[in-house]
Amino acid sequence: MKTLFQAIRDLFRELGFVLLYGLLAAIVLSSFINSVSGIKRILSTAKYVSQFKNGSVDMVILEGMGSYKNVEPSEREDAVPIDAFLREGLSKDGRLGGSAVVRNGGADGFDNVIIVVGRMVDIALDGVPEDRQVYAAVSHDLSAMIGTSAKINGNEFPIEAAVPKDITVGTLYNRTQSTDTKRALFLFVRDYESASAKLGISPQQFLMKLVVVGADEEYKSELIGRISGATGMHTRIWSADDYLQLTGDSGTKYLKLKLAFYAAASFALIAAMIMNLSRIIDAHENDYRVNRLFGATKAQTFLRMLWLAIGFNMIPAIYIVIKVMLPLGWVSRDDRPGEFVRAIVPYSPEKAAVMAAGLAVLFGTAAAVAVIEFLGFERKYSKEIGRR
Amino acid sequence: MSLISASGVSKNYKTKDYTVAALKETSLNVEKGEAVAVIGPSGSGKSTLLNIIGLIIKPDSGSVTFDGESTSGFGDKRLSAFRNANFGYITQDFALLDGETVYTNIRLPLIYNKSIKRSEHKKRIFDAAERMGISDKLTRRVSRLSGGERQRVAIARAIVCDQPIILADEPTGSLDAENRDSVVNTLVSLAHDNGSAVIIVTHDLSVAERCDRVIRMKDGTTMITGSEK
Ligand SMILES: Nc1ncnc2c1ncn2[C@@H]1O[C@H](COP(=O)(O)OP(=O)(O)O)[C@@H](O)[C@H]1O
Ligand SMILES: [Mg+2]
Repeated sequence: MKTLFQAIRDLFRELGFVLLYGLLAAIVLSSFINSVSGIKRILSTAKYVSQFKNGSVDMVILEGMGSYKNVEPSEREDAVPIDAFLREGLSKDGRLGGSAVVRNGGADGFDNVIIVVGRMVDIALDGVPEDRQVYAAVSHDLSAMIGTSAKINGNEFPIEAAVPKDITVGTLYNRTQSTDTKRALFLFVRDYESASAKLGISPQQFLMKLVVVGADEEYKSELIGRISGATGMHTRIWSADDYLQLTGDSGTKYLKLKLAFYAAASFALIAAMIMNLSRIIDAHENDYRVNRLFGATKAQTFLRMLWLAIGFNMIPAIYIVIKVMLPLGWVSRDDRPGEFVRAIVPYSPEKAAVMAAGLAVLFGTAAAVAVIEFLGFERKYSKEIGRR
Repeated sequence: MSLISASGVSKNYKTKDYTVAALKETSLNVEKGEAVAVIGPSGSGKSTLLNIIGLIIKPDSGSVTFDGESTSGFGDKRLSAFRNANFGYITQDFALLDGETVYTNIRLPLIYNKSIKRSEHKKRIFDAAERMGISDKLTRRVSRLSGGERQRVAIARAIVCDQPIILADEPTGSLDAENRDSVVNTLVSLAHDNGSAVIIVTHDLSVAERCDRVIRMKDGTTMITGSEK
């Protein structure tokens, strides 16, 4: 207790530096921690980008209000209605792929049923057997259900696998949120035509997350014409490159730049902390010496330095903890790529782990400075105390 | 039995290139109520001897006892408590807490003392200050005081726990003649009136003359002991 109060007094005498360092460290480190927990998003985006690029996957984007109508808008004689067009595109030799999330309300243990069709199957998951009409798998958290079966639309499907934890079954601009991929049943359907009746699905369910693979310009423009005609919505097709060009600067690239900046700033801060802390301890050396002369033990002297080192980092530590516990932060909008909104960011174990690591570095460094300073002090003290 | 008894004490300082034999088989006894001066040229081992008696540094060989009790087996905690209760240190540079008040400086040994009650602290601090004639300066910062006043604060601190042993290393080294005389008077009276054992290291013969006994050191040994006045 005595040493704690002494350390608090020591800190108050350095209040200016404590506040200046504390505020800077709080801002830089908490931003760093938030950015690091955004790495996962970068990585999943990067995975998408390379996948979409390599497979020349384009994304279909629908904007604005509309109403779906299965009538043929074109005057052309040979035109087939939109449903038929989509059905064909999503089937075995088609060029379309898509996914849809059907809310299941927890029935049979599933909150969501996620249906992945056509060319999207191989983008979403490696190793889906070629010969299956419907390949059923559960989300990572339900892996205990492998071997049982799921009943959909009156038909039973054996559950053969669990998908990886980080599966994402959307598109770059419209990704399925991570919460959707928990407590979920995944149905992978390569050939829409052969399984649609069994599952009771309709092709327009996949419109919002549609991709088109290896298509020529003619096919793309037909796709745009048909969809906008049927839905009344403005329809565009983006390649991964288009996406990057539009969002890269404000999204992924920005985050990477931010990370690099905060990493450098954090290093500078830790260096500043080490220098400041040893300067403050050195400045109090006479105090320690005089206290030691009149009865302070080695342990008390060390504790006083340690408390000082810990107290010096209290402001950033408290700020970081509050920041991680209070789930408010900036998130990128799924519907408007590259735009960020203030929103609830759920407390995540990754974020907590990064925070714990940050605090460990902060206090570990501070404690190390205290130990080194104490050892130096004792070496000097035993020789010089009476000689001054 | 002497209050302080150092016998056959040796101390070598080892540096990278050479070893200095600072003390060679030195002995010294000091009784209660006695003021002893230690004089000798610079580098003759005066401070080393004082620091060994004050349990600040350990001798390489030889023994130091207090009322026949050896502290050589003490751990750091016990040693710190022993030093706190028994020694009042006074140095040339005063060794004060510069940013603190006179009151806080005099209180220092009390906060580490386990046998003196907290309720007694204030009275003891006032009494010690009164005795040194600085009771009107208790709330002043020591950094604002003159050299003579600072040394009086240091002496008040050295007696606030009724420490039976006062060790003063060149206490008058940075004082003018007037302050020097008053500091020496005080130190000698601590021995004669309070019954403390007082050891004063000095190179000032006029200071040494005022003491009961003068020990002359040369090349790490005590040359003349017991030159009774
Ligand atoms: N910490 C130390 N390291 C090396 N040599 C020292 C140290 N302290 C003292 N000495 C040497 O030991 C000798 C005695 O020093 P000291 O006891 O301070 O003498 P005095 O107080 O009489 O001037 C001197 O030669 C001094 O240089
Ligand atoms: Mg000396």
